[in-house]
Amino acid sequence: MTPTTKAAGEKKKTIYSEVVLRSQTGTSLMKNAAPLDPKRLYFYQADASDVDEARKKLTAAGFTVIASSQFGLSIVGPEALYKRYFKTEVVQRPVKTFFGNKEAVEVDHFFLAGTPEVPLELAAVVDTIYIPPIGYFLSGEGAMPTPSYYHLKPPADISHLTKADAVHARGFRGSGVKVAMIDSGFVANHDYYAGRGYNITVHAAVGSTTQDELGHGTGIASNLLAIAPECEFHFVKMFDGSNWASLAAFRLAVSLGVKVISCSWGQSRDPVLEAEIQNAVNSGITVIFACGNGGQVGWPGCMPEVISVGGAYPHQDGTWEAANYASSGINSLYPNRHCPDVSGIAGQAPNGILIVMPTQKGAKLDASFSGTRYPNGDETGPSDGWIAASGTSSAAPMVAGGAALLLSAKSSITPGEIKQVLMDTSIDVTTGTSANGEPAGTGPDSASGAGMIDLEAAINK
Amino acid sequence: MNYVRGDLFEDDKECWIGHKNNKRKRMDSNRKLNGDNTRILLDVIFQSATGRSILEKMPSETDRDLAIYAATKETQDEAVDVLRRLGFELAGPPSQYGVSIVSSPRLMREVFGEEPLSVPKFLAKWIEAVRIPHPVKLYGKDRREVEH
Repeated sequence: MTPTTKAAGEKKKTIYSEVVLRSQTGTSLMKNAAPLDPKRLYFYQADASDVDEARKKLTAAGFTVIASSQFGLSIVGPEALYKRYFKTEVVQRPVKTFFGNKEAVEVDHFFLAGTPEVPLELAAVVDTIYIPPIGYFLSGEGAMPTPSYYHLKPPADISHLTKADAVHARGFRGSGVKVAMIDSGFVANHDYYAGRGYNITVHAAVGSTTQDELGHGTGIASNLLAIAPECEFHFVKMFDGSNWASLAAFRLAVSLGVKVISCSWGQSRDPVLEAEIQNAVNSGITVIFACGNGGQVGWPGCMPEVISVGGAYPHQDGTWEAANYASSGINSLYPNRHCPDVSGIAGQAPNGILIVMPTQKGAKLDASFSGTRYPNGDETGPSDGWIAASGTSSAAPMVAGGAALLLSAKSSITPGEIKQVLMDTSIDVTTGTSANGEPAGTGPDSASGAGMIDLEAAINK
Repeated sequence: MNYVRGDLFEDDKECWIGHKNNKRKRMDSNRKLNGDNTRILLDVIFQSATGRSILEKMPSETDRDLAIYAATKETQDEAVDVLRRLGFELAGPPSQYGVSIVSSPRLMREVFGEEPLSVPKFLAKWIEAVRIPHPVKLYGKDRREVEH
């Protein structure tokens, strides 16, 4: 696999490169030969307004920005655009690389011929651009695998089953809505994401990289973007390999000015985070939490202020059943609050294997789902960058995507109204039980809440 | 102190948090604090303007009640300034309740002592408590496989 991405229906090659921003201190990241001192990373960071300016100008020029941080932006664009905008030829020649444990293979790789010229309109904010060397930045996951068992593939299956397709057809695709996801990390240059034209910015609440060592965030984000492909998506990484920064990440997400925050995790109750969530909802941010898997209803997913998301399983004949992998019930912290409120798509026990999603190659989840046959394993490779999984972790981002669609249609809608609309318009799930054994039934029920979200009905309400 | 912890995870491990009155409270952590290259994340809680501790907040208290736990803007700014001058780095922006900071184990020990962490007198004007954050569990195939 090369860094080339092809937009659907296009034959022209698009080329991926990295744009390095000028730092606030004037110190160039590219001229630093020594290992970076993590205490001095701010030396190399650009001002946030410069990140925005570079993004706008590169987008206006015709490039697609696939990720950005205060160090730089990852962009893709056609060969001719590089020549026109950066006055540089792009050459392609074969280089040797390795894929996993396989022998070296020869692949085509792109190089910039000569030194690119940063155009005058970008000179104040951009230091330089380069194409990363092969072996460092290439993801190389290749095409999404097709397991032999019944499975779903984002984005098409997710947008179809949530009826987001119909909303897209009406022109609402999340445009103009800022959405944050707080999770383990995000591989923005995964083959799945590169070239799709998503507007993604990755932030690290702690640590200096945005890798996804656990492999969770990269996967579940595909569900949100399947539903709201034109939202301004901010991924906030809350794990640096040893520290969990849920509180710092939540504050960071709020500070970004987002209207929706999607969370697929739980922890012991923290009164400070609880207050931050309550304040966020009160200020107009729709906060969505997964309810949990396997039986226990997690915190903060049980807080009354959030939209608590459970799971519904889609049969191949179009009918729905409560997902017996998804949690439901009451957390003792809130005795009068039954969860979930609504459901997204989730698989069945024992492991919820249903949706094929991208992940970081060799991440914990990539490895842990492989090695055994379905339904215990996903039958994908242990280091191929793909997992087949699901649960309320993937269901919550679907609801977050739905909230973004509602906001793109009506920007004044409140978090409470979003929750109510989604509940009022859900598809009634009448059969099956949750992981706790609570049954679904006619009307709102304990297993699936109000039912499976129906975004077409929600947008029409 | 009515610190209420969630009852959802049966495999939580124990650690301690520091408080201005040095009370010890049970929290959950799988933190490893040794090693020179370790960077430790700490959640700092500001002194509220009313003297009420947000750590005492009950789940039933809603947004209408939360102002009583807020620090003044002056306290927020001064706390952030003094933490920076001590050598801590901010992790994310501060809020009216506190800020997260990153530290080396050595700096953490020098300022907040050994666990249980405690707030030294010279910081007590601005800071009520400091603690190692709760571990998070991502909802995945098997919690033990996705938690660190």
